[in-house]
Amino acid sequence: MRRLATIVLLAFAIAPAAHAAGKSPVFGLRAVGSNARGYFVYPLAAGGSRSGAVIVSNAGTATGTVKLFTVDATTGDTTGTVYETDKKPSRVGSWVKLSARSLTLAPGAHKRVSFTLRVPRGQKPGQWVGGIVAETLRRTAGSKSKRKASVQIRIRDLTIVAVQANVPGPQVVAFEIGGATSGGKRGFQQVVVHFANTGNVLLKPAGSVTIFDAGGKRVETIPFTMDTFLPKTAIDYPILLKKALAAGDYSAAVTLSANRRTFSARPPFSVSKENVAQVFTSASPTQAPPAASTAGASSSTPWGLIAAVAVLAVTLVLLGLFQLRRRRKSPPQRLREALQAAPPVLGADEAEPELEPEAAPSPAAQPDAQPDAQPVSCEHYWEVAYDRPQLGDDGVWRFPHTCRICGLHVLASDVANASAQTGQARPVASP
Amino acid sequence: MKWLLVPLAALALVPGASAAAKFTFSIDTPSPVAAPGVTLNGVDQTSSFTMQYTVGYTGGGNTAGWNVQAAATVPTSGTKTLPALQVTGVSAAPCTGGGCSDPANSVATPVTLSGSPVRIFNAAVNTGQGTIVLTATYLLTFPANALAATYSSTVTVTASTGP
Repeated sequence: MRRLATIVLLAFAIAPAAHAAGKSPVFGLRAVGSNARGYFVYPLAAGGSRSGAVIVSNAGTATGTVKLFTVDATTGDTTGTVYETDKKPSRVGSWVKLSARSLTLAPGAHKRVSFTLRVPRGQKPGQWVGGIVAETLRRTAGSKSKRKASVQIRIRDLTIVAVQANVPGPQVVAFEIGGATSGGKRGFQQVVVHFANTGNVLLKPAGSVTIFDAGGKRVETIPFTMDTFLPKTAIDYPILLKKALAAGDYSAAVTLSANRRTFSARPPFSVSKENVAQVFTSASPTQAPPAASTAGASSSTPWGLIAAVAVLAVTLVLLGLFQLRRRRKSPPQRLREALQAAPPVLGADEAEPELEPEAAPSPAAQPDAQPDAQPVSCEHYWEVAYDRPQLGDDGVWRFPHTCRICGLHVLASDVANASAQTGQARPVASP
Repeated sequence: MKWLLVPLAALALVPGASAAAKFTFSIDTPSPVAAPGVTLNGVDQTSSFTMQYTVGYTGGGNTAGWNVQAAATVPTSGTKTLPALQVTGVSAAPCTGGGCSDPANSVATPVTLSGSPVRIFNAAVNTGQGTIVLTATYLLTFPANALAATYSSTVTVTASTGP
């Protein structure tokens, strides 16, 4: 049985590796004449225009087609410049006109694509950002789509070089701090504060939020440092709490500093029992509105149910056989086998035939490993104490994970991380 | 003296070849990813999968750093949906290439993905030069009352260099 599982896992592991080793185009962008920054910054008055160029190159091993287009930039929810790649540009993205919309390039080839940036008349002073995008047109692998899977993820990859227009005029540094709400899920409780950069310059502010309870007693202070905050943009910024808040009324004293100016506000917020339940127990089910219905729905459901029932039946039979086998062995024999066996790398919920090799633990999981640990053989079925989160020095929340089968106890960010650690961990006392 | 003119002429003919900053990005994971499913059992479950990216930030004095952002549609099958995908971690292998530097990342995870892009990794100013291989771990959540189906989602991953 173990041999069969190994063969299945190896088959899954080999498939993507072979693909990755296959030929594919890799497109790159060079901002011509902007060697120091790697992106374009043009001081340009309203109504003015400038010409520039990007060099699109194919550093891959196969001929490919790249789609070129322009986008607007905005501030991401966690700050930093992000690009609205699924929207028609209406700001800086619409000011840039490219000389080509797509290119097909052989491996090692490159081509220069010129563009014109024209700032509209009447544009107000400030630092305004857009981008030039190169999107690799990917073909989806046919063999992959035939496989049974619960969730299929289609991937788009885009490379962007920023275009920043600095329209001369008075620089205004201004922020608005709006309301606060509680949020988060899966053990990560947050207070979400609304910020708006109402000025006209790019800023990287820093600040802090201090939580007070209804009686005015300080609960905790959390400092934060933001990345780039674009002018005339607003976000709901999530701040991870170190101490969990119980249901009740609170206020958040927020201060924000940028360019030697400080802004502050103290919006109230409340944490409901539902908030606490959502954060520390389970994610609520979601159901799309009926308008989103498509013809594919009815055909996919019965097959999904049939597959689920079949997998469940096979799992139950295997579990029964496994339990029977365990009962026939004495405890010392099981312990010897456990200590001699190779370390497992997978959690129980990942050990089904549908397991993907992509589920392998990331290297980021390594710091969690317990140094005095040794391997144990067990197909772990993790119970996670989401109500007991611990914030690590690296800023990552971790939760106690306990294996129902062997009692292994590890502190991990998620199930995959816990499974990754079991490759190096030995069981501690069962709870 | 002619021997000196030949390389100079070659440099002049290749636009941007004189140590220009070059920025490349590729996703090494084949699309689509068949993420590991779960057998529904009446309790909340999760499964995770990884994607591998390669960022190339080479050439002349490129100092601005770079960002990787992601957006994802909600996993959907007809009228049925699953909760939004989360990125639970992004790790970087040691950089490769002459004069490379490892990226200094300040993006905290987990990050919940939506239709609006959000950063999942960054290389701060003066870091992230060379070739960097990133591995991002994505988390799928199956609520206790999730319905059996084959769900699909589109993840858009973007690497950018800019302010």
